[in-house]
Amino acid sequence: MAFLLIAAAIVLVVLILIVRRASGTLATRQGKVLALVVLGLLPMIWLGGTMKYTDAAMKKVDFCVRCHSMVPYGESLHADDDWALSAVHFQNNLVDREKACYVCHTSYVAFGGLKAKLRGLRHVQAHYLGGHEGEIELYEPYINTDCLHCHGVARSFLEGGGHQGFMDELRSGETSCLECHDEAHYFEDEDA
Amino acid sequence: MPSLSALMPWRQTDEQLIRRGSILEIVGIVLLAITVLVHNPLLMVILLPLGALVVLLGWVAWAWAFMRSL
Repeated sequence: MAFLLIAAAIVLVVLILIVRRASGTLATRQGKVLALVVLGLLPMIWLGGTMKYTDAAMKKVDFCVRCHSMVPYGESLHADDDWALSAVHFQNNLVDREKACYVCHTSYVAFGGLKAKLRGLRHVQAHYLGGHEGEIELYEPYINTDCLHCHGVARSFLEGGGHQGFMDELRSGETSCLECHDEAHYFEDEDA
Repeated sequence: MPSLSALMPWRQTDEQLIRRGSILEIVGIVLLAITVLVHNPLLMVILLPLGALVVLLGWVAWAWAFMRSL
């Protein structure tokens, strides 16, 4: 996809340069049609394709672990631990493995995707400009809605795991899922 | 160096708008192409909105000239 976008960009730049060199582009009907396609439609189509591509690329685990502070979290997906939530979800294919970080760290509420993008900007600021020392923590407590988005209708959740006794508390958020499922990521160094 | 008011679309001829708009579109496309190639988070945060803005500015310049020529 990246190759296609770059190839299309080169073709588009050449076409724009050709139209630019033609004097009196808008003087004739053919010139107007040419300008409409080359200067009007094609750049917008290419821009849309690029935005879609970069949006998808930014949701991938590969992108998240580009910052070295995120590398241990990326490694925790492969940890040999059947209690850590990230490892269990990733290794059992319970989430899209390519987008494992994004799937669990995006709230399934109105504008959740937009909020995730804005949080990403804060991550970049914290990473490059500092302002955060010590262990990395979530900006806000992890909400049950994000777990229940998938698990809420699952038979394994509704009938198993001892959830029945406090279903209302879980659904209202009064009791956090993380009170029992308390290990989000497993780090190899913790054993050292 | 043209003054800022001289750069306003209504102060420019169709040819000037096409010339300047097309250059802006090319610059924006190059910035976005770099973003596609380099998946560096910092570069993406800077170049993605900047490239998109420059392309859109160029597009507005072209569209102004086009609408005026109709």
